[in-house]
Amino acid sequence: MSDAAPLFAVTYAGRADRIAALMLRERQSRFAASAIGYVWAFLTPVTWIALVVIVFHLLNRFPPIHVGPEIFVATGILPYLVFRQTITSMSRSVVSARHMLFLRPVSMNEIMLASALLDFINMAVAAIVIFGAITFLFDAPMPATPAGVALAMVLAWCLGTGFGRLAAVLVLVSDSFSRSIPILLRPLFWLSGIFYTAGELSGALQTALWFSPTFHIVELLRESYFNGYASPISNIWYPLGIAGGLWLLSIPVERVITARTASRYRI
Amino acid sequence: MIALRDVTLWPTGAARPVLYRANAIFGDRQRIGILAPAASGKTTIARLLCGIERPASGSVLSTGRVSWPLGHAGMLHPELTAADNLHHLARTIGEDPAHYIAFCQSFAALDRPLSARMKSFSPAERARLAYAASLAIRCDTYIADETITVGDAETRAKSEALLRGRLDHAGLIFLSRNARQLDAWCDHILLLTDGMLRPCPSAKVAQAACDLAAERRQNRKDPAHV
Repeated sequence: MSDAAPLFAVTYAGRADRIAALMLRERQSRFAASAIGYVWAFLTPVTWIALVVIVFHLLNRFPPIHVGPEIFVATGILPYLVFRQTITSMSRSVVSARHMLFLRPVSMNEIMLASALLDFINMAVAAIVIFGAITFLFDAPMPATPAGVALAMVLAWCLGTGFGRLAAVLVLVSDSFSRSIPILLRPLFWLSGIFYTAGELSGALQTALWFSPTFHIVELLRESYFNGYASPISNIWYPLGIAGGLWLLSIPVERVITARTASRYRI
Repeated sequence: MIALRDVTLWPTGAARPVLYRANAIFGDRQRIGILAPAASGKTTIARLLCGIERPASGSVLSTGRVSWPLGHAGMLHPELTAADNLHHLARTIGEDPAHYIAFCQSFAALDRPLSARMKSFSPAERARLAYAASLAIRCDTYIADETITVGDAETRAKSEALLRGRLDHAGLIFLSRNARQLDAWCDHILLLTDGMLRPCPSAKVAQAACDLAAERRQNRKDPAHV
């Protein structure tokens, strides 16, 4: 066997190639157990949008902006789900792909980055398909400033990546933290302006909700999507600062965990 | 080559360090066996040598490509097909996927096609595939954590021939509690005891020292036993 076995020259994959390979593995394995596979990545936001629109109809509620409920809800749900999904994916990937660390020089950083980049691509495809389908099916307006819409979606992804990196390294240490992430993030669903706009809120409520970074992102997206809409809560730097702060905070946390070999997962 | 310099390796929660200010040099093309009793931290040391674990203090220097522990199957995702798993491994390490897959398929001689999901393979098939995957790449140092060959007698002979062929151009660090296997594979023997790696003339001597240390520990715990 050894005589016949081909011996390959020693080669190393470049960083970009490694991340591309990790992304491909992540894409195939994320929904591998499901019969409809990757369709779930797009079915989830569509289902959420449909459910909230049905609730709008049942409650006889009309969007505060003069647009259909479908596009109004979509502009709230999509950035929120991008933020949420990126956190979930990064937290899961550090556990599910941890054995890939044996393929040196693959690092935890690359595993997290591959997961986040996959969500970036999913986000772009989902946004184009869903906004496009709503425009086509419900005669919704086209985005007034497409670049602004794209920027807001990227902001949602950045916030998810910053939070996701910190969550991912903490998940390695604490099962309690892992279980509490969905509970901690649940209030943001109600505090992100998915069902309402900042202009509808009273002064005190507006002041309180100013601290919700996802609210800024949703309102930024709506300002760019709906011609003439302006929001008092649409600061680009606040969510960006939180995203960067969480990302930076995750670096010393990761170092402490690695140095103390405190991960609860055996590789 | 892998060099340990004053390495202390102390996993969180462990009562004592796996390594305490340990020094060792694993030279190019050397075959070094580390005899270590059960639960002494063999797998932790294997991870350190592979570059996954970081020491609490001291440093680990390595040159050339170091393998992952022979036969380690953790990278094979149960829900993906065998072909997809091998394809991802090959791409991640920079090998040509077609050659890599062909080599693994030829060695593992699986009953099922590579298009089957990993979870549908028997443990023996999975072990053969994982072993082939770890030896399909040419490394400068191979790491073995208890597993040195796999399968039934025929596969073991095939595994041994393949590994010996690879070791013509590479080094081996074999962590085991099996003195007989260490003697069969290694030129130099180290004994892991009290967090130190101590050179021994043979695995037999290392095993005797290991047994003596265990007996003394038992006597300290239970003086009536003396």
